[in-house]
Formats: sequence, structure tokens, C-alpha cells
Amino acid sequence: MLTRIVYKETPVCRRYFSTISRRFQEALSSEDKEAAKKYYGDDVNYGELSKAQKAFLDRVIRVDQAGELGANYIYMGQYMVLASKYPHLRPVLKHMWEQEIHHHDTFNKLQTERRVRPSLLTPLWKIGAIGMGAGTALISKEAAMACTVAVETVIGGHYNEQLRVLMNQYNVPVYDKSTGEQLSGDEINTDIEISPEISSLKDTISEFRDEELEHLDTAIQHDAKKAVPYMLLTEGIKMVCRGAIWTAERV
Amino acid sequence: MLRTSTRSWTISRPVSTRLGSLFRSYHSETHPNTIVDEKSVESRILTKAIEFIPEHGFHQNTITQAIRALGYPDSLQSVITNSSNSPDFSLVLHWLKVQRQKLEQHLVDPTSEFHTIKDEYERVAYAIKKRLQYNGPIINQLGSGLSHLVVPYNVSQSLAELHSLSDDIAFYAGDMSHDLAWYTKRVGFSSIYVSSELYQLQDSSEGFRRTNAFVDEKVHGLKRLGSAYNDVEQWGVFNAISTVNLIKSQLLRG
Amino acid sequence: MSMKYMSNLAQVGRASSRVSSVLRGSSYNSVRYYSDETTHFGYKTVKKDDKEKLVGNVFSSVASNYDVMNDAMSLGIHRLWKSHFISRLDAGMRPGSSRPLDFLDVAGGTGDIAFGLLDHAKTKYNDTQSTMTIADINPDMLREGEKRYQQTQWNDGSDRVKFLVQNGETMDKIEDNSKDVYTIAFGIRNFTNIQAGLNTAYRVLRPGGIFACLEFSQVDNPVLDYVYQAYSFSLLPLMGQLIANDRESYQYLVESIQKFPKQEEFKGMIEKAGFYVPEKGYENLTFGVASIHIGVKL
Repeated sequence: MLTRIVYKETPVCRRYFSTISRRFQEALSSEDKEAAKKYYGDDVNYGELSKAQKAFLDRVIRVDQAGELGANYIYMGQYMVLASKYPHLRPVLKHMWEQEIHHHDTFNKLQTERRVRPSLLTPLWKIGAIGMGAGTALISKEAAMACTVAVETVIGGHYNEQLRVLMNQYNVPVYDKSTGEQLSGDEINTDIEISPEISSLKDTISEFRDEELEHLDTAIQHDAKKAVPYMLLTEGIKMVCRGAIWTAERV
Repeated sequence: MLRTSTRSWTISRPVSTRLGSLFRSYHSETHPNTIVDEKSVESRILTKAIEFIPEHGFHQNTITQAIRALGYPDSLQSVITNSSNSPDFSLVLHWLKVQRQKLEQHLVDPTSEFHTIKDEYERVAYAIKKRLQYNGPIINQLGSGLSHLVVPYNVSQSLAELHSLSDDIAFYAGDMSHDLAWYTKRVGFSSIYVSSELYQLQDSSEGFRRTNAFVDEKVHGLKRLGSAYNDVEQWGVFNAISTVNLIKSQLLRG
Repeated sequence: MSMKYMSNLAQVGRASSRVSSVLRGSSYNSVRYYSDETTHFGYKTVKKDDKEKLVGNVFSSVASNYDVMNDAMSLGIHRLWKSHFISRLDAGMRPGSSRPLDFLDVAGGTGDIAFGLLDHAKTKYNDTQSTMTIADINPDMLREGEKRYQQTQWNDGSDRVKFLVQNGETMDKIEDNSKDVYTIAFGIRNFTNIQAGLNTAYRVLRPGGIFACLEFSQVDNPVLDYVYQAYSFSLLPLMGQLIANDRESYQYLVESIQKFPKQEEFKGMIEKAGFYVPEKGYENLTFGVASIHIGVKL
């Protein structure tokens, strides 16, 4: 688990006042300040998210759900073709597939709870993903692994970008629950500066990103680089993935 | 934040959309906001105007009456007239939002009988019937009000409002679909709602009994359609798998 | 995706924009480019004390041809804008109301908005009691307005209409909390200190009063913007030279349009003055060539 380095940047959301620069200085002498902090989880209310922030979260959940759906069905396609031919690969593929299923279920749940619209092209993603998984598996098992490498690379970078935005641009004003007055940075424990909803989303994405990178390593270990049109395959699949990500965000 | 034991959806505080956004976006639990911003001047005026609708209809005059009743100066009329919507349409839109908020509060209220119904489609029927009930007091004026909704330059806003309503109903009924079904269900609920409301306009039965029966019938139709689709899909997948297996066995044979 | 969103979020947050587009010149708020004594007069830098005089000269020289100038500049569309402005405002004492309204039209020397408002109130609501005060800093424009007043139906001896020479930033002759509707059409961009003008508007309005401003603004579509600027910078001063033999004044007028704050920025200034701005506080006319801003004193 990566330690979270929280970069305190100038807030870009117009809705709140800048206490960030002060917080940065205080973070440096945080041990002294720990004693002065009064507020913890249950004592605070959070202000509204701006329209742009909500729109971003909406897209994040939609595209991540579509992405995990794609990953799920790719592994399904690969498993269907490779499992009977290469029994030694079965546990590896099964494990990766099951993790993707878990990811997919998590985002499905988030999509329902947060009332986010799923991607309209979901049937297309299903068919495309199965096609891609089964297709690369039919070429060879190295090609299937190369496909995994390509997909996981794109997804890893994509999650990193999302995390970057979530870390830096989701500060909202924090209010004392009983009095309703706005709290300044030094009165709040660092853990609760960002609301639990956003920080749990961040943690989820971090965890999934780590698992995706693990899949990437596993695929490389299983001779992904030996696939014959390696560059062509990986670059082509990466392009397709990026296009799908762009589309899923919007449609 | 309460979680019900049987369903995994959560009861969230009233949340919503801004005027004019076509699809509702992300709903936050810790960062809530409401459908109708009670504090703003326009919404206070329009909410008061709703009380005068049965008598005066969806007209600018109703707004004038409301402003007088609240004791505000006449110059505040310009706040309502100055928006890009006509005052009549602003009033209709506000009426729809207020009723939607009322419905949401009812569905969220732990004591309402909504929570005793377990089947998703039954809940949808209940929610639609409840919402139609709210039309009762102004049913005589409703026709003229609804006519504002279909005018081309208003249509996008009224469709957004309709979508928000069916999204609310689907969510509180417990819709858990993750794919195309999300869209088809909401389109289905919207069309049921619109047709039922039109039916209600000329329904003279006691307590809108016939409208309720109409709603029930339509919802059952939608349910049968949904399960028919699922059956076809399952049959298709089964056939695809059998075909693949057949081909594999033929290949093995050589 | 996130880059786009980061920039979106950044745009929302940039309250005082330092970025200037080469075409349109710096935004009004970048007073940092000027010292405390100087301000802009179109694209020229002048002393603050001089700006008022220079603007005065511009309007004195165009006063008599003001309508012709407006028709030429906007191809007659300004009439549509003004009538839309008046009908949207829909101001007037409603039948059954107890108190007539007090209108204040600022920088409305020639009186077209003022008389239009009175007309609208009379035809739609049969309001013959609301009073109108027309204030302008330029006596020549006001004289032109008075001349036109003589010919209108409002010159019926009822003393409903008053003309005052007033500086819109101070308005010393107008008391606090004395007006219901404050309108200013194509005038506020000429103020030396726009924020002061807005603060004064807040002062003179009663609680529940409306501030309504019709002004040139930023065209949102970049293609149309290019066409619009090409038109305004090349054709208009030429027309001024031909029609009124006064190229300089028209050059100033075109430049002052470019200098005026954009819609969102101006909305922020209105809020800063204390007004409550209802949702979507402005309405763009003709793709943003002009826009109507509104504020309510609560």
C-alpha cells in the first residue's frame, strides 16, 4: 500500500476560502498541532460539492465501471479459450478473473448507490471485450498475456490520473455539526479533511490500481513479451482501450 | 445514514440536480443538496404561488397574488419574469419540482407503507400512484399547465424534469440494473407516468380509481416485457454456448 | 480527462483572471497594469481624473446623432435588445397594488429605455402612477432627452418624469432606499469605477428592488467572436467617420466594449455590491454580443 503523500495546492474551487497554505506550514509541525485539533469524524458536516466536482465523480464511476466490465469480460474470453488447452494457466487466469469480478461488483454497487448513469454502450463493451479476450487467446497464449499487459498499463495510468485529481481537488469547507460554523484547517484532523465518501473512493481506486499492476507483472512473467506481433498487439490494444475510455466517459 | 437490512440501497437525504441538466449526475451522501432551494427568493415566491394555482391557474397573475400575499414589493415580479423561461412555465416547473420533492420525502420516510412492499415493480406502481395523487388539488388547471411542457423551447427542461422523476422512482423502488436495462427501465417508467397523467386528466372516478388501475396494468406490462427480454437473452446465451461446444466436439472428431 | 477537468475546476476558481486574450485586451479587473492614478480609456491609458472628462467629450459630441450611431453600430438590433430588456423586466405597478413604483434610469440621457418602460407599464398594467427619474452625467445627452420628452405623452403635467444630472458612481441627489427599479442600458461600461456604480445602485434601491443592466458583453462562440471583432474594429470607426465625422469617439466606443468585464465577472461584481443574483444571473442576447444582468436587493 503506497503511503499517501497529500500535496497541498492552492484550491481551485471558488467555493471555499484558502486555508491550504496555512495548513501546509502546519503540516510541517504537525506533532505540535495534533494536540490542538479538536474535530473528528462524527463532529463535522461537509459543504456541497461543486457542479464540476460532481460531474467528475460521475464520469469516474461510469468509466471505471465500464473499464472493470471490460476487464471482466476480457478475462472471461481468455479463460474460455485457454483454460482447456493450458491447464497450468488455469489458476492464474482464474485468480485474475476473480479479482476483476470483484472490481466490477464494487463499481456496480457504487453506480447504484451514487445513482450514476452507466455507460450506454455497455452491450458494445461486453461484446468487444469478449471478442478481444477470446481473439488474442486464439492467436496464442503469449498474445493473450500481451493483451493483458496492454490493458493493465492503460488502466494503471488511468487510475493514477483519477487519483491525482481526487487527492488535490476535492477539498470542501468543513462545518461544525452542532454550531454550523466553518472550521479552519488547523482545527480538523488530517484524516477528515476530505469527506469519508471521497476518501473511501480514493482508497478503492488505489487498491484496484495496485491489483491491476500486479496483473501486469503476472502477465509479463508469463511470457507476454514473447508474443509475436508484440508491439503491434500492445499498441493497438492500448489505442482501443483509450478510445473506449474516452467514449465511456461521455456516452 | 440508514441502511435497510433487505436491500442494499441507502436512504439518502434529498439530493438533486440543477435546472436544465439533462441527466442527474452523481449523488453524494455527505455533500447533500436539495431539489428545491427553499431559501432563494424565487422559490419562496413560486412555492407560495402554488397555493393560488387551484384558483388562478398557471398564470402570471398567480405569481402576483403570491407576491402580494408574502408582502413583497411588486418590483420582485421582475425576478421571475427575467429568467429565460416564461413566468407560466417557471411556475409549472416549480410545481413539478415541489411535488417530486414531496414524493421523495414520502418514499424516504421510514413510517410510510412504501417499505412494506417488497417487489420492485409494485413499488414503482405505488410511487407513480402516489405522485399522481398529488395532482388532485389542481387537476382542473393541470391540463393548461402541462401544455407548457411540450412547447419546443421548453421541451428540454421538461424532459429533464421527467427523467429526474423516473430516476427517483426507479432508485427508491430498488432498481439495481447496471447496463442497458437502466435506460430502458427509466424510459419505461417515464412513458407510464406520462400516459397515466394524461389519463388522469379526464378521469372522473372517485379518488382516481381508474387511473390507479391503469397504472397497475401498465407496470405489469413493463414487468412482463422485462422478463420476456431476460428469457430471450438467456435462451440466446444458452444456444451460443451449445453451438460452441458442438463445434468443439466436431473439431475433435476431425 | 483529468487535465480537462483540472482546467475546468481551475477556471471556476479563478476569481480575478490574470490571463488576457491578445484580441480583446486585458479584463477590467487587471488594474495591476495601471498605477493608482491611471485607468483605461478604450485602449489608451489615461489619468483617472481625465477619464470622466474624455468620456464626457465623447458623448457630448455624439448626443445629437445618438440614435443614428446606435443604429449604425448594431444594425438596428439595439432596438430589439432594448424592447426585449423592457419586456423581460416586465416592471410596473400591478392592478390592485397599493404603492406605485419608482423607476431610475441611469445613463439614459436620451430616454429611450425610460419612455419604453413607462410605455410598457401603461399598456400592460394600466400603470399611470409610477415615477421615473432619468439621470445622466452628461448634460448634453440629458438635454436631448428633455427635448424628446416634450414630444411624448408623458409630458402631461403630472410631473412623473424628472431629469437629473448625476454621476452614476455617487448619485448624491438620490436618497438611500428610494427606488424600486434601477435600469442602466449601455451606460455602465463608461463608468470610471464600475464597482462604485454598482454599490451606489445597491444604496439607492429599496429592499426588494431590482437592478437591471443591459450591456455589451463577450460573444461565447469563438468563430462568431472573430467575425464580430473584425466588424467592430474595422467597420465601425469608418461608419463613425462617414456618418458623424467623428472617428475618435467611435473608436473609443468600440474599445470600451472590449474592455468591459465578461458575463461571469460582471455577475461577480454585482454580487460583490451586495445584490442577490438569481440563478443564471445574465441572459445573452445575439450570441453574447449584448447581455442582460440582473440583481435583487434583498
